[in-house]
Amino acid sequence: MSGGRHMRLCVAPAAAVLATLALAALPACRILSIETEQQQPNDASRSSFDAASFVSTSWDQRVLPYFKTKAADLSQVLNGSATDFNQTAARWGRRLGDVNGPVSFAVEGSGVVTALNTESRAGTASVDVQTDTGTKSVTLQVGPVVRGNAIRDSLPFVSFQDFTNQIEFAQAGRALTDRAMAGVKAAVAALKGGQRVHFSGAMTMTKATDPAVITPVLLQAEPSP
Amino acid sequence: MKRTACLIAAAGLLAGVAFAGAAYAEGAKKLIVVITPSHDNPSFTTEAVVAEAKAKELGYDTLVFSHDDDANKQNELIDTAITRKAAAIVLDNAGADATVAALQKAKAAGIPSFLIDREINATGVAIAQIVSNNYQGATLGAEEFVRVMGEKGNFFELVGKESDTNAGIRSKAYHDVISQYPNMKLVAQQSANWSQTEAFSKVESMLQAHPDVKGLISGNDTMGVGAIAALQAAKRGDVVVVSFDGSNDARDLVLAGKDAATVLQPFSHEAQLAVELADKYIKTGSTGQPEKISLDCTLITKANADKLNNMAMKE
Repeated sequence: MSGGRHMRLCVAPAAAVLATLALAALPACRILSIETEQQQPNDASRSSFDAASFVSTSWDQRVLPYFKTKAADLSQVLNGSATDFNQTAARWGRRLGDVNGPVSFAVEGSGVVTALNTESRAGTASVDVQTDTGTKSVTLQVGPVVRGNAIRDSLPFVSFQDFTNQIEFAQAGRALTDRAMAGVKAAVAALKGGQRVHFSGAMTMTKATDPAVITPVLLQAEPSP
Repeated sequence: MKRTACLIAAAGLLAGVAFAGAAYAEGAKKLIVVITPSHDNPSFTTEAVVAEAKAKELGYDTLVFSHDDDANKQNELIDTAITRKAAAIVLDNAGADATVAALQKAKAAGIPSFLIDREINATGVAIAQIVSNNYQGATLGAEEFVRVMGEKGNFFELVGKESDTNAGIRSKAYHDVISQYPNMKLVAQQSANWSQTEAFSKVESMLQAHPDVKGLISGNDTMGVGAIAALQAAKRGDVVVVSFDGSNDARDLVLAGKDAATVLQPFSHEAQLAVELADKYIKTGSTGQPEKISLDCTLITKANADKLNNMAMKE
């Protein structure tokens, strides 16, 4: 790698001279700047992964169908977690890492928007959800900044094993989240307090007392009861 | 070289004659070789100490080395492990690409490798890669940094040693988060090579050039500690600092309100898990786990810093 860089450094000035002398004659000549070279570190932070095509080939075929047909009932997950987190995780969630790792759930539910918190760019909506053990307040992430990789980590067909390194794994997660937010953009823009909404999405919890913070994949307004 | 070998052989023979019984018991123990980056950084000391203790507990002999982030030195240490017919190598490696060939050599010699912390850009070479998800951890640190800064202001970044994969990963994750906030502005970015003293002098001069700075995000705790010392010396305790690793030094600064947050890498847990998997592999020929295991990092703030000790959280 460093050998290549030295060679490029020697060749570049010569190529630049040639290019100046005969620019028209060398239309295919491409000079890599030194900066471009330096932006390609020799380590696991490099990546040739195409996150956009990863999402475009999986979103309609696999991701949306998964959230439409496999998402667990949010109120059941919330009540189950409070009673026995590990059992609930094993039944409806997907654990990353080892036995103490975070658990991501694909969930669906309905509730009433009680507050919109958009002062931060990591905007959220608070939603009251009815469960067997009473009303619970959950948080929907509405962006533009969205935290975590709950969507990626809730999908059983997306595994850390399948990526060259953690950068690619992260890029896949970010691209899935971005795609989800693009899909709910109109519904997010129309959100207002008191509105009843139905949503499917993903949340990550490490223990029963963690707040339920959901990244929406599907979001729609429902008529008030 | 030859003479040394003869001397060692002779010494070995003598020892064998003198302590035949003891030598037999010692010889029956299998060897686990633990190789980490320099112990200048307490994170890597933790790895080495925990891995060694776990290996001894499970009845292994151990050899503990540091490669000092030098791929050639790492190569020699792997050769040593091969010569010593190690039963397993536990390694926090010296480069995602440079390490692959060295581990292939160990594999060819029948020695399984168990990687901790840093990953390599290849699978099927090591038996396990227990990876600290530095990207995820740095995301947590950057989110907290942005939050405490009120999502706006000029900031510095201190970057780690270029040969360390995780230096690049953390910096990338920091920027992936912070660039989503248009009022956050990076005014100076410098490498301090994970060094406390280098961070101190770099931050001193960065402060002179940019007195309007409001925050500093550091690639690790040792640089963070150096930066905080420089900020305190310049009476700029108002500058928000976030660092990474979860060392005891950083914990104390978090508790004192001088470091807004650090991010705990599960070094202790990883080292322990690597030895457990190695033991299982040695005994059964399988770890029963996929090769790549990603372990998440934990944000450490004033709210939970008192539970942190020697890079592990007390329950």
